Amino acid sequence: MLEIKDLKTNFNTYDGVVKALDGVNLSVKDGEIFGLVGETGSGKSVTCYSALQLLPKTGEVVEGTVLLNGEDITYVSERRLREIRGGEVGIIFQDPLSALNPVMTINEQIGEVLTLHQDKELRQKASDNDIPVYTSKKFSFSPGIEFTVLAICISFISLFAMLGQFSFGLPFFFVIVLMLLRDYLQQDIPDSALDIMVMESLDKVKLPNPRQIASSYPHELSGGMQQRVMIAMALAGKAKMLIADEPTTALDVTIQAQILQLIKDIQKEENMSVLLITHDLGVVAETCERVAVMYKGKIVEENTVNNIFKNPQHPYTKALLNAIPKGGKERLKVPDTGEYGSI
Amino acid sequence: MMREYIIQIKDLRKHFPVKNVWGTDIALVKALDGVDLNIEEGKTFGIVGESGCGKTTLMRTLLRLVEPTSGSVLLSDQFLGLKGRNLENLTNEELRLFRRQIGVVFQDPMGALNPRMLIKDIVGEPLVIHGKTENFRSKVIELLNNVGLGEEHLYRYPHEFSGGQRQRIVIARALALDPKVLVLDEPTSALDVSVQAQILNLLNDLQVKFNLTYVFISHDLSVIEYMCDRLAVMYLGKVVEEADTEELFFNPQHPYTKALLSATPQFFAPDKKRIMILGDVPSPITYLDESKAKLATEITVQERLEIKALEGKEIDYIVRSSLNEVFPLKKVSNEHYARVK
Amino acid sequence: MKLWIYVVRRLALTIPVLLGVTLITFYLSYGMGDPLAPYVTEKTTPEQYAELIDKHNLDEPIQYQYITYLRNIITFEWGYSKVINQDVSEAMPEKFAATLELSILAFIVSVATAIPLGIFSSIRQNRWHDHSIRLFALFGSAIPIFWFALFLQYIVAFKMDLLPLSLRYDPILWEITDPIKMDTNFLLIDAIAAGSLPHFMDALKHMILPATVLAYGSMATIIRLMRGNMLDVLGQDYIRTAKAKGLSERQVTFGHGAPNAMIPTVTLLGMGFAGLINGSVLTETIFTWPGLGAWAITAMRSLDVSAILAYTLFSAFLYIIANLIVDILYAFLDPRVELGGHLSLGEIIVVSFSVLLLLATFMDISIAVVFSSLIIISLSLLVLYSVAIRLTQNPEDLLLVGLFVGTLFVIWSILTGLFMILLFFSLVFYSLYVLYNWAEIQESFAPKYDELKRAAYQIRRNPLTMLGLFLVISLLSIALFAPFLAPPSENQRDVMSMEEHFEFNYDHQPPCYFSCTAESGQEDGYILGSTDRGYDIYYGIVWGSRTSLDVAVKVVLTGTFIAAIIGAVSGYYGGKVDDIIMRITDVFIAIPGLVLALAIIAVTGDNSIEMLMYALIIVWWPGFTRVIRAEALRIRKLPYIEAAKAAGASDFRIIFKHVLPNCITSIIVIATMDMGGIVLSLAALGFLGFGGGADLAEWGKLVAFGQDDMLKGEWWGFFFPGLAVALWAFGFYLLGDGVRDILDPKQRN
Repeated sequence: MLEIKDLKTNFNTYDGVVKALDGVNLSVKDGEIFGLVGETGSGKSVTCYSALQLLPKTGEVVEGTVLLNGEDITYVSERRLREIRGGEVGIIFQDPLSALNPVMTINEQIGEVLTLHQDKELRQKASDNDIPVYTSKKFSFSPGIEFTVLAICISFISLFAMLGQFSFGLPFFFVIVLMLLRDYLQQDIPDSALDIMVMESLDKVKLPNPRQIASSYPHELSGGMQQRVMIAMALAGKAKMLIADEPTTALDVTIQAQILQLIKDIQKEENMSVLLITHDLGVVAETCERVAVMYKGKIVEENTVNNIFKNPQHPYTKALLNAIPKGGKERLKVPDTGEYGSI
Repeated sequence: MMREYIIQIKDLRKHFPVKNVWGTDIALVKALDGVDLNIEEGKTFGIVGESGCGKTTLMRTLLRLVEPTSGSVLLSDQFLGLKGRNLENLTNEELRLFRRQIGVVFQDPMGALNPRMLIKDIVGEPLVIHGKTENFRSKVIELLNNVGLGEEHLYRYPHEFSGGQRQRIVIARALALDPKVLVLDEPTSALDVSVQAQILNLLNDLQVKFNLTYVFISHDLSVIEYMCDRLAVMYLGKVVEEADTEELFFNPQHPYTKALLSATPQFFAPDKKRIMILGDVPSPITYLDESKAKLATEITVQERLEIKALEGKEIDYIVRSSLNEVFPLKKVSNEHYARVK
Repeated sequence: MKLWIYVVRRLALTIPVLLGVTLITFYLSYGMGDPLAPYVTEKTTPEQYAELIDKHNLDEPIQYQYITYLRNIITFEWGYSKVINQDVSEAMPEKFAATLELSILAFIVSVATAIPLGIFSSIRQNRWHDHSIRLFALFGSAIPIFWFALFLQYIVAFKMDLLPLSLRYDPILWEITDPIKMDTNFLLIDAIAAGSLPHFMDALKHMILPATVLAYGSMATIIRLMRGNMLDVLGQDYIRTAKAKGLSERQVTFGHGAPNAMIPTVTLLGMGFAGLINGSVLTETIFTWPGLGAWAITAMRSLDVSAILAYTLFSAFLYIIANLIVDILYAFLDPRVELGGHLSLGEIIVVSFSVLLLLATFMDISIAVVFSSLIIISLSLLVLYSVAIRLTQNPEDLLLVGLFVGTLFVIWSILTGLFMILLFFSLVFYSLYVLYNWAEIQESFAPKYDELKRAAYQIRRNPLTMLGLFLVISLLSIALFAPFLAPPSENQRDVMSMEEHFEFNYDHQPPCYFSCTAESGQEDGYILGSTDRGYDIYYGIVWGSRTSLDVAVKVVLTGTFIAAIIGAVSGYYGGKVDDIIMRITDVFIAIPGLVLALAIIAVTGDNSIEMLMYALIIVWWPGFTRVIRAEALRIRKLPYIEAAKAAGASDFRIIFKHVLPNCITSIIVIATMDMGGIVLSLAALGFLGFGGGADLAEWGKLVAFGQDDMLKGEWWGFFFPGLAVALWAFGFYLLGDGVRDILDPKQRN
């Protein structure tokens, strides 16, 4: 499904060029959950951003190829890349609250994905059920702007009225009349195909009361719900591949268990490929089939979950496993200070 | 055998009022709701729980950074000059004495260090505050040596250090006045596993060397299991289970503890039968107006959806009570749920 | 409806602020000026005068006078304005409409251009587009409005004759050849109502120049803010999410970036609108626009107290309304804003007392006075009681009292010049200390030295900061070496005196730059020309720099001291201390700065440079205090403060060791920028005729001299002194901007 060959990415920083990725090779097969583990700065997130060219301005892919279903997407056009993002590959991020736009409703945010990648289905649905595709745009501004205009007009009218000059307030009065007239002329509009499809996608990630959630803002939802919305958004474009970048790090353990279960369920239902990026070996062990371990911009070991935990080959993997407390009280085997050095 | 308790917490409560526009209280956030704990001398006492369960409030009350609503924290004779005193009734002079004998390590090591101070001044600050400035330099160097840093780090700023080193500096500062008790608030949750292992080893060494008592707060069960001798599980401001670590891990009694243990991913035993807690962490807000409180047997739509999804999946599940009760609900039949004690 | 409760609460809270404003104006007019001036005309007979005294209770104690004053304000008896021979409340609507029309147009222009420019600048960050827009914006803040206005007037209206020079409309067209009804007094709307294109075009033509001038200043602020917010937003996680959805660059920028960046920008727009009203004082004066600002200036020049105070009150009122709307708008735009919050007991007490006070003014005067005295006595008892309680609980807080006293002493020493002596002695002591502990200090300075080297490197890398540094250093050296650059004439006793430097025989001399000959009468001629009374502009600019430096340094030092101490204390303690201090700053901020300064100078009638400094300090400290307070509020929530508390550190120690050192970045940046801002205000005051004594060399005053000669084609008179002001402000702004880049840790990575 996704194949990354010899990927190298550099970051240009104040102190010079930093090699974030130094020849990464990995392949995610059809319909499997693939784990990518590593510590901070090992380059696991950079791998996924490089693959979809989502790097910040300072980063740059210098070498390597990325194949998606056999298609080389390293140097495809911006247009094709946009089709892939959200349409063929969905991504979810670590902190759902900051990854969702705080001033847009869930409906608008998921709706964007649908309009971009599911346009045909939307129109099909609309013509089948004889409903509008999108809600026809009302001639109105955001409530904030409407309010300001109203407030300014009223305050000026009253100001001039207080000063005894009613006629000076006439222009402002005129604006208010216009606004009221406009509201009167505009009627309520039924659910559009877009609204219905947004609610369907929310339903898929086991969110209760989709209508209410669709009309709410991200901060009004709990952390678990936000991450479910992120998943719904990543899947809305009927993606065949899901990249999950530390999807549960910001969540409590009990919520983490729910979200991981949800990802597993959806993966099975849709027979998707999932690339799960995490620093938590436990999460990998419970969720994935195959794992790659990253260290300093390189994949040091790749194997099935069972093999890697029972029989680690690379010294770094061994060191990493040793550093985790496992029930007993014996001293953890790590150097007292400093890094691992030249493993 | 009688255990030597250095701190005894009795029925500690901290309620934050929730006000409406007119400033009248309509609800209480019960951050701590009747906590009883006995902290043994020279051992590590662990407190574990999810976000919002009151662990951090407990820490802040222990340090007297917030005043509790009611309850007491009794100090033993291990605290010089404070024997049998209640922490909440200390005079200003006694409070200074207390602060000399308790140290604290915070979760975020960068935030806990003043970016505009040199390491020398940061580590030596408690010494200055309590007027112990003779041999200042050699004392600070000794403190740094204790945590694996050295003289060459004296004149540096915090931003020049890595995360693990910063946490070492925080620990060095906490040890400056030879405290009896060290309160550790998620000391490793911002660190990578390898660095976490280093810090945990260091903490164990220091405990032996200085005969310290640790109060170790964390949400990470594997770390808690490794570090602690005794353990309390908190849920919505209450302690639901308190036991010696091994006992608690091998034979958990409370359904919440069971579910929490099961939810923690463990890579060495992935085949165990799972218990999952459904729904969100309930809010610790208690409305004073009874009519606003939900029924104990009521479950949310979210939970109902999750139950459906789990059917036939070989996973046991527990439904969290929507009321602020510690006892979760267990499904009895399709429509009925019972409180589990 | 939570929103309505929120609105009501905000409205309620404006009442005490408005009362505070009336207290200030009352103090100005009764304490310093002649309270009866607004009601006395030439025709007033002694009997009427006695009647007036009786009516305003001037023979009664001060609380009677204040109640009467308040009643007059509420009932719109704002007195009689001498300069326009009209009752204030009668003239107000017309004047206000004129100002409003201009301000609204300028506001629309500035918002409509600034926001796209800010967005464009941010998406082209660090490319030449970005640099030029930033320079354009910086120059907009640094350029003195009055100088820009004169410049445009000279080029566009006088030289090229494209647009009318001044006034609101062509009186021949509107009043004689084709009079139309002016119902609304918004001329554009009146012209549309009358269906007359010539009228419309005429009104529009008259508006273009003043609106451009007015818009440029606020445009600059909005561009800078929008750019900063946009850069902030573009670095957020949800922008990455939007890209991962497959949205195009354009859709991400305008669909996700701009709406989020607009939210904090909107908060400034209210201030910006009030700033326009503030700026209209200068613009209207120059373009003789018949609005509030021009009226207020004429009033100030002839000490027409009623008009001044009416204008001050009115501006404050507008400002409060604008902020109220913005606050509510903010809650609308940002769904995350909690409308909650509740009325604290203190708020309820203060609001209900103010309402009661207002109601009391309508009662019989003696009842009202007894009532209000009761209110005031009980309020002060309440405050004293809580202070006493606090001190008994926390004896440490006595240090706070000491802190305030110490601050007052430092302020006094700065103003009297004692500060420099103190500074000298402390420097001597400090160097002794350094010598004594050399070994240790050397070690602890090593990392600081590294920081300095890094900063120096960054300054050298940034050409704009270098330019700023160059400008600042050259202007400072001009002030320092004034006696060598422009030697005073032999018979001059006071070098700063302008009168003693007049050479009436050599007036209106054009600049001769470097080719001056003896032709002009002087040995080396007038390098930059001379004014109508033969004043050497070059000499004025060189010595005027000393005035600017003196005022800027003293005001900035004093303001920084007040702001740092009060802001840090207020932010760190929070609670009631913070509430009280913030309400006080509210009152001062509500009155536009230039207006308040003008009112203070005009009403006291004291036009000395000291009074000017006091006025500028009074105007300047509240804004600065708020910035420091916001910093302190942020810092006190950081874990290291908690760590220090847990170690037993006293509040005093935390403020001085932890809070203030971490505020220092903002303090340095703002102080640097305001070295420029203060000189801009000083020049504006000087231009309006309040330049610290008629005789003192001062840049703004020189521009005013030049203004009179402009219509004779003598551009040098206003051009060079204005350029000096602009370069000064520009230099400090550039430097401040650069310093911010260096000190801000966000910029480092």
